[in-house]
Amino acid sequence: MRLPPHVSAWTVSALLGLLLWLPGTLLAEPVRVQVVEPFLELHTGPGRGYPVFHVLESGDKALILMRRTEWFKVRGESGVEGWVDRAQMERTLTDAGVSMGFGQVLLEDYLARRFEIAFVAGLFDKEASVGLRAGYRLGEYLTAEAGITHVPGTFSSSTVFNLNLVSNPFPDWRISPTFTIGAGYFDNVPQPTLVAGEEFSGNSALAGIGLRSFLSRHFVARVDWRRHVVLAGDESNREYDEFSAGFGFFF
Amino acid sequence: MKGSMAMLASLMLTSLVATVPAYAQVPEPRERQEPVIEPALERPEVVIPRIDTENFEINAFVGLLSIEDFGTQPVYGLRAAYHLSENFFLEASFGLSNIQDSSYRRLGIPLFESETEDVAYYNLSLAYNIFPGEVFVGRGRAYTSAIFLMIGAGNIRIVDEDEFTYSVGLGLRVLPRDWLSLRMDLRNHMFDSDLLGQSKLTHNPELSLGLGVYF
Repeated sequence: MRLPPHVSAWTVSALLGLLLWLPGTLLAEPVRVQVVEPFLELHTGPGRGYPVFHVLESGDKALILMRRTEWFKVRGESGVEGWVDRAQMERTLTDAGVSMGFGQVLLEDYLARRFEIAFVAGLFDKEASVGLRAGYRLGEYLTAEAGITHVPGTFSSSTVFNLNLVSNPFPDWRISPTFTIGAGYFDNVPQPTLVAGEEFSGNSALAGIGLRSFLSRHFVARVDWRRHVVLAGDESNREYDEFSAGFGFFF
Repeated sequence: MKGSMAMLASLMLTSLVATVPAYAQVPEPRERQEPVIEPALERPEVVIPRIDTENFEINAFVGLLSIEDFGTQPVYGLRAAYHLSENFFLEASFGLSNIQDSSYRRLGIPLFESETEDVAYYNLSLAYNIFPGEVFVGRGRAYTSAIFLMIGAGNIRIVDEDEFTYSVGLGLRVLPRDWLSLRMDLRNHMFDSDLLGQSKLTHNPELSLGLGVYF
């Protein structure tokens, strides 16, 4: 946050350099498929509204170059390139003679589904807060989660770091309940304009309940209520309630 | 007639006797059985195709950030987005800028310790591609594009003081290549500012140009 401008400028340009180098290195092997339906429609862009400008016919071969959300970029034998939606892509055959198949594409996504990242916003002890959650699925029912919540309040700016275990006993429910316990660190810095502000920090623990709803296969809406207990060092612990709502995605 | 009956009976009896050993025989466990016929089939190795998915976008931006009651200063930063579907994406942004109290200093009422102070912000946003489309460059080129709306929440730190920030934005994304994105973003960062002594809601527009890659 307090980097001198020239250091930040160097960081940005180094990152930019990295970005320009990335796409070349991440090219995966293209997958070859054969069209078995009467035709495969190629759209000009990865979206419903883009017009169909070309069709590949039954028996034609095509290369899948990449996937963006639910759209696949393919190249026909003539060299023409276009975007095909998932529903049509699943009805093609790979070199092995097997269908890309609903099951297989879904399975691939499901198996790849290990990490979850979510953005949340809410109220922490009646002050607006914003947070980031990163989860790693340990199994079907359990997720390890690291969270950071920032509360830029009226009198002080608090930051809570947490490591949580989130239990999700009914992962296949449309709206599925979660139970969270965690431990962490709470840091409270008074706003500099406040004269008599006092900094305090300490270890903290939390317990919470929440709801998750799978809006689509990668997209999750979530709400949480969490109670934080901060061990501030003096006789009394401080307790804060946090309500948050947000969106997450799996990859 | 009698003879034929006897023959039938004996036939039935022999067939019954013949089946008895079959019932009595305990089949061997499957793993100990020798395969009767080795199938001359070549089984194709089924591999789930690894398709290059490009749903992440990172971009660097430069622009102008105007802070209410203060001037407009250059801003630069980074954004990282994940495209959830053709309609929605989530994006985290981080930006650096500065704030100057030159006008107040000229009047003899400096507000900050030094004339130029640091500004840093971050926000987390949800965006919706409201008008996906194509832009045409000359006669022969068409690039995929989208106009999107976003709402977000975050923080802005001005002279070491944190303020919770809401933001709304409108943006244009053009993809000259499938992995390369050009962005133009207009955002309003809204927060309660007490820099002039009294807390009030301020509107702080930002206009930026960005260059990004998908991976």
